[in-house]
Formats: sequence, C-alpha cells, structure tokens
Amino acid sequence: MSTVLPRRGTILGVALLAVSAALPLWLSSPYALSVMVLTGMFLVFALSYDLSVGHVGTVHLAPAAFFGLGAYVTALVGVPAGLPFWANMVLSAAAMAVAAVIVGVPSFRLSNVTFAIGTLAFATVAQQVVNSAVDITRGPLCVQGIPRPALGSLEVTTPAGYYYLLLPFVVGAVVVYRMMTAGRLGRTFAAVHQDEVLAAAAGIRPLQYKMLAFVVGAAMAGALGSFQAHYLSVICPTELATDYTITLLIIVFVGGAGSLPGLVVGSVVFTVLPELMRGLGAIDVTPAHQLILFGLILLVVITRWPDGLQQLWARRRPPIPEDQALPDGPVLPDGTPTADPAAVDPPAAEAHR
Amino acid sequence: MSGPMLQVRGLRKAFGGVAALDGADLEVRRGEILSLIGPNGSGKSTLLNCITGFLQPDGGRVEVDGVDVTGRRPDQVAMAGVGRTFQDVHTFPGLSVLATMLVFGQQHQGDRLWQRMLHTPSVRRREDEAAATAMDLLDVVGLRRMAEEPSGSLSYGQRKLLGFAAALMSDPPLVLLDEPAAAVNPTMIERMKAHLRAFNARGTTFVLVEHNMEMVMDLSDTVVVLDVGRVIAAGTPREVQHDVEVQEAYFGR
Repeated sequence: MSTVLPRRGTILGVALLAVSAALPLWLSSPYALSVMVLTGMFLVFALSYDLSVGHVGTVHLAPAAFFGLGAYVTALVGVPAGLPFWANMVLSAAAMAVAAVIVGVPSFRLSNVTFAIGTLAFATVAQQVVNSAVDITRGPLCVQGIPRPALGSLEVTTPAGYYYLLLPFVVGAVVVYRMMTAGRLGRTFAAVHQDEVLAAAAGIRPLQYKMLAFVVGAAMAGALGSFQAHYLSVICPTELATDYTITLLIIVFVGGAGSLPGLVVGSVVFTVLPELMRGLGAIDVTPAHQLILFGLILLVVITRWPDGLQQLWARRRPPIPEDQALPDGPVLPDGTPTADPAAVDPPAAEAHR
Repeated sequence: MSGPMLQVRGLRKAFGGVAALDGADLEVRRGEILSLIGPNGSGKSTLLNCITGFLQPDGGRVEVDGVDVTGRRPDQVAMAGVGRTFQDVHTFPGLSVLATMLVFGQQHQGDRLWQRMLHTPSVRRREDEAAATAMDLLDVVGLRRMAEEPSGSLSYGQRKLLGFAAALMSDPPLVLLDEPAAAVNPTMIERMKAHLRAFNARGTTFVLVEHNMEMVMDLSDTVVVLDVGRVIAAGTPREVQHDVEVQEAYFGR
C-alpha cells in the first residue's frame, strides 16, 4: 500500500506511456500532433491544480496566473539571460513556488471560500499588471521571438519534436503527483481535506499541507508556462486569463477530483472531443458551440456522477450488512434509545486554527 | 520524572464577556484516571479545548509533563503527547478505519517529508509497524473486521470506539476523553470501561469528561467538579459524592 503506484496502475500507466510514445507513428500530421501536445499540457496543468483542489480540498482560482507568470519569467528573465530551455523551466517553477508562498501566507488566513476569492483577486491583478506594464512586458503587443527549445545543439522545431519534448515532462508530473498523493503524504492530505479538527488532533498542522500542495502545484504550472513560451515563441497577457482556470475546473470536476485516471480522461475529453466534432464536419463548430457542449457535459456529469467520470470505474464498496452494524444507536442519558443524536448532547463549539 | 502529568493553573476563557473558565486549576497525577464532572455549561469542554490548543485561553498556564504548552496549536499539543477524543464524534469519512488509525500514528513516527515523498524503505518499515499496532488496537475495541471499511460507514458507537483507539495509536502518556459514554449503549459502555482500565494499567493517564456517574464513580481515582468555570471540589469519588457544594451545584440550594 505504500508504493508510489499500485501494481495494476503501474502496468496500466506503462502501457499508456508506450501507446503515447508510439502514437505519432499513426497520427503524424502536424494537426494531430498539436492536439496531442495540447492534451498533454492540459494533463500537466490539471495535475498541478488537482493537488490543491482534489487532495487537500482548497479550491484556488489562480492556476492561470501561475502558468502565465511562469511563461513571462521565461520570456523576460530566462531568455534574455541566455538560459537553455530546461533551465528556464526550473527557473519558472522556482519563481512560481516563491510567488505561491507570497500569495499563500496571507490568503490561507482566510476561510476556504474567501481563500478562493483572495486567489482570484491575485490572478486578476496579475493579469492587469502584465497587461499594463507595457515598458516591461510590452503589454498587449506580447513578447515575441522566444527561441525554440534546444537540447545541446539539437533544436526542436517539428510538432513531433515538441510532442517528445513534452512526454517526459508529463511523466515527471505524473510521478510527482503520485509521490505527493500516495502513501503517508496522500493520507495526510486526505485527513486535512476531510476534517481539519481531527487532523490537528492527530498532530497534523493543516496549514502546512495546504501550503505544500499549493506551492508544488504552482511550481508545476510555472514550469508548464515556460514550456508554453518556448512552444508558441510568443507570450501575451491572455496566457494569464481566467479561461484556463475555468477549463481546469471543468477538467477536474468532469474527470474526477483527486483521481489520476479521472484527470487523464478529463484532459483527453476536453481537448480531443472538439477536434473530433470538427472532423465530423457535420456542423461548423465555433468556440461558442464548444462552450455549449462543455456546459452540457459538465451539467450531465455533475448531476449524474457527482464525483466525476472516475465513478464509472472506481471500485464501489458494498454497504455494510445490517447484522454487522451493532445495535448501538444514540441513547439518552437515562438509557432510552433515540433516533436523534442531537437530543443527546449539543455539539461543542470549537475554534481551530 | 515525578511531577504531575498535567498541571493547569488559573485558566481563564471568556466568550463575549461570559466567563466559561474563571481561574480553573487542575492537577492530574501520573498514571491516574481523573474524571471531570459538572453541570452543563460548567466549562468542562472549554477546559479540554483550552488544554489541547483548540481554544486559546485568555490567561493561565497549562503544563504537560512539566512542559509549558499554554497557547500552543492543537497539532503541537498532540505532538507533546496528548491524545484526545471529541464529544461530537469526528471522522475522516472517506478514509478506511485502518487508514484513520495510521493517520494518528504517522505524525509521531518522525519521518521527514522527503522520505514520505520518496516512500523510502524506512517509511515503509514504519508503515508496516504502525499497521500492526493499528490492527492490535482495532482488535481490542472490536473493529478489526471493519479495518477496510470507510470510517463514514461506521455506526455512531463504532465511531466513538474508533476515536478512542485512534487517540491511543501513538501511545500518548496522557489521553483526554470528552464524553466517551454519551449516546453509547450500556454494553458498549462496559466494553469501554474495560479498555480504559486495561490501558490505564499499562501506564496511560486518562482525563475523562463524563456525565455517566456510574462510569465516573466506577473508574476514577480522582473526581474533580467544575461549576461556572471553577473547581468547586476534588477528591476520591466517595468524598465528592458526599460533598454538599457539589450537590448544590447539581440540584440547587
């Protein structure tokens, strides 16, 4: 139970990786490859976001800010300094980890709901600043001419090249995600998610683990932003747009918060489905149609499968048979059983930090 | 080590001008079972929450085994060796019974964050040890066969037993139980009493907040009576039972 991947999951994961690695042999058109790169990028993005949302249970609304700022760190700091591609990813990740600490320290003092709003405020301000600080970021004119990634003297220029550059990054993100969410650490996250008071009584400091998930997620998003900068070679303030955050919320909640297979399915559905619709050629698919479609999918999924599509294959536990449930319902102080636990004693008011 | 296990001096806590604790003193000797009784609203739960860090006292001092823990966070007090259960039963509904037990053991086993992330052999070894301890404890409270069930599916009484077993998971020297018998059926209460005695015999010090007088009189070495935020009587169960002031606190003058 303490291995990084369950055995069945390992086999499935390795098989999926092999298929992914071989996929360009069949789907070799630049168009197909660009869709697959998009899928991979959204998967990394969703993994980074789900650490907070799905595991410690803090919904924040700043993933796009970490992604976009990560891209700008590469474009405005790393590239002028002449750093290679991989070093830019590390730099952007580190910068966003620091940013997450700076945003997290005051924001985590708020309750869960106001925390979401606080991070949304940060995201909005960040986008405004990037848009208006024309002297530094060129604002809406965008930063252009970001060099293509190069490994030594080998420059990546083809869509297939980008695909194979992204693949190890996806694998790395999955491994980090599993390391964080399996075993003892994952159990601690789950405890914080499900009952902070009880977790504190177990010697866990909830704030520490919320911060950990937030910071690691921000670093992953920042590294992904760096990849985006090198991939597009142009970075605009729209990279910080809340649209990404909405997309991620849909992927996470349609696929299944806290579920790795759910996130994979969510990312594939979100990126491949619109292309399949376009391929059918039956209707002229506009972005507006896509939004309607995803709105419908979200609506159906959260009403039919509130825990996301992962419910379709997640192991369902049978209810405990009646005879096993011991006859120990609440009793009043004089010994008479009661169906209403509240009649027995009012719950204690508890403050917790 | 011979000082008291728990020493509380002049603890004060007010909620919006109403004093819930008004200079409460408490001394718990090593290895005893001490019961805290008093009418509703006398400040028993507030006292427990101030000791364990879930509430910040306005004044006074709390020492656990000679270490000042006044105003510490709940996780720090837990790490200082104080286990506790809650009156309104808390669970991790999505975690299995066994996983809940492991949560309560793992913070005390001292592995580092990077070791947990890398699932090092030392972490795995500790995990196996903790699982063995957990299964033994679950056996004691009769929940072993439920080990793989989600805690959310347990009945109310079973959750109380799980809370009790979980509080003992790290083998803390001091355990505070907030109304373990409330809303539990008589058979289960008898079982709980036997467990308490057994763990006490092994050296665990218990503080019990309880309304069930039969249980209190039966188990306690010392009974402390709280009324309007102060200790009004302390002594053996027999002494307290005959204390006039106590009777007045419960039944009026």
